[in-house]
Amino acid sequence: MTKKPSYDQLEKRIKQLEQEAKKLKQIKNRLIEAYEIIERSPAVAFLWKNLEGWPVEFVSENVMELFGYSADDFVSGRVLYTKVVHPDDLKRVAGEVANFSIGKGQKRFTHEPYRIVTKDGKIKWIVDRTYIRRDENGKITHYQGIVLDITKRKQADELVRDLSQMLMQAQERERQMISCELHDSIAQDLSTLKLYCNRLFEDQSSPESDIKGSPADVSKLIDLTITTVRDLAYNLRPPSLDHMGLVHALEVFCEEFTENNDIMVDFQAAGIHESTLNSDTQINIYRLVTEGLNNIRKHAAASEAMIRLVGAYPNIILRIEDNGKGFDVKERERSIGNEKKMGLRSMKERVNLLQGQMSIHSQLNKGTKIVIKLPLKDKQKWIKKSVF
Amino acid sequence: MDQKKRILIIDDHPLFREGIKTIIQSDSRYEVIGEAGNASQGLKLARKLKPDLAVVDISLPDISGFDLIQDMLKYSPDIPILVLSMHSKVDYIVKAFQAGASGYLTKESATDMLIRGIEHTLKGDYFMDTSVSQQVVKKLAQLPDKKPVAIVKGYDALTPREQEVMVLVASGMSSQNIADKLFISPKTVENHRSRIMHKLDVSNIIDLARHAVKLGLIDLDLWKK
Repeated sequence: MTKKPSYDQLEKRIKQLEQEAKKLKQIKNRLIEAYEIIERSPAVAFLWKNLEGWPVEFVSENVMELFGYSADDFVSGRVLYTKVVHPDDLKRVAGEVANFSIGKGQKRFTHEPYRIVTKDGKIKWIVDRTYIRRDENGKITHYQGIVLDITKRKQADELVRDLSQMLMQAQERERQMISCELHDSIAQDLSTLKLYCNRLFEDQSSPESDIKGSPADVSKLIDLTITTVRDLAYNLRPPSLDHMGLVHALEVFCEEFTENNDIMVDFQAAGIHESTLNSDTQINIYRLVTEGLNNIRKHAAASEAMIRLVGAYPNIILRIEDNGKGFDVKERERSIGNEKKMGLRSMKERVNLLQGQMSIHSQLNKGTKIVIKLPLKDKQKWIKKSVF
Repeated sequence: MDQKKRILIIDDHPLFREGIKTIIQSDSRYEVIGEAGNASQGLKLARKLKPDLAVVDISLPDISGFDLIQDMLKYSPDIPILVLSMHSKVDYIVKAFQAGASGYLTKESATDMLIRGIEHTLKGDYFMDTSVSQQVVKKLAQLPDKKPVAIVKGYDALTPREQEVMVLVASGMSSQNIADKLFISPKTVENHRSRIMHKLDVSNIIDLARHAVKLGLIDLDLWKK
């Protein structure tokens, strides 16, 4: 049996409780504030259990706007998070979680943007920043994440890329048209002109003394003009690309490059099935090789270059290497906008537009290696389908 | 006097056709019996008129001159064909001869060399104009040090799926891992692998990797990065 507390003790206790209540109220208010901020923000807060299917323990109510499912749909377990991640991205997302969960010291990570499928079947792009929550033994119990809708940004990126691609295609078309016109029309007309000129001079039984000897001069001049026009056409776009195919056109380019510069180019192509390459890919690979070799000629001070073009389904690998003076890749990256870097930048741009990857490996005095990987299939096709 | 040799001209440029016609007809040994502005019309005329020689352009509106030469030789295998083209690159010349042409002239050489070209090809000789023959000889002189690479031939024979497997094998992945990655069974991976090794004519994985390096599929120096 306990002793009844005294009045004083009771009063003290009441005061304590009152203070605690006040504190709790403050905390509650702050929680409400924080919660409201989240609710009104575009960011959805998730708390996932570290269990199969990533069941959701808590999610902010605004999940409805982004996912179309209510918070209760998730928390009740009716909808597993793995079910809303786009099936094509799930493996990658799970891989990222697994990778970042290995290191004990790892506290947070950001997923590469991935897609989710909303309740009504729409596909949206999100970024997901995740914090790893562990128990006292360091075992992961939860993942808490902030999820943001970036579909609009993705669409805008896509649009920019589409436009750049169209621009590039338009430029190629124009070049092809001009090249074709120069070669098949103007050079042809010049040849015809030469034919007629010669006849004209022949028919002149008694040429004036001051134009004596000029038939040969005129003929020579026309020949020179034809050569110029033909070279111009060739530089704009080699006709052989359309008539003989990519590998052949590259062989010829490399041979001529070797001949005209003091750089021995060793070109080899393997496993390239030209019929499966669309003309866009072909011209872009051609341009990448010519840009790469021109960079080497201008900057590398190399005596040898090596080009390897190899089909590695579902990609094509292009290697451009030289034995020149090389450069510090990191320093070069810092000095962006540098004149000298333009060549590499335009190559990178081209590779990006083709949704490929390009990496540069170089060291001072140890030459340069550029590795380009281009996808054969248009991986972006479904994005367009889903977004627009 | 012998009968005049009958010549057919196929070129889509009317003025140019007219020009070379004049050159040809200025020689009493030859006459132009037909002209065509495209390949199909040219083929028809060749079959109907059975000329002694055809002067053919490479750039034609319907099919390429290379295809035209082959088609024409199917019906009249003995007809000498003299190509008269704007193209001066050695690959075009080689392709024209491969298609079965007997002579090659660039259009700007027509004035000086057309008659000689016709003479030679009618005799059954091969003819090349001097401006292109230099290039061709240079190319031939280069050939010995450019040996055909057997590895490339082997690799060219791989299917897309085999290419895919080859990259993964060469980068050191196990059959099980490759199977998981490509959603096929390890048995299928093994099958692909033995077919790849057969096509490349190698007997072990080391040689396969060595081939992959030579082809440019993988780069050992960049391996660690």
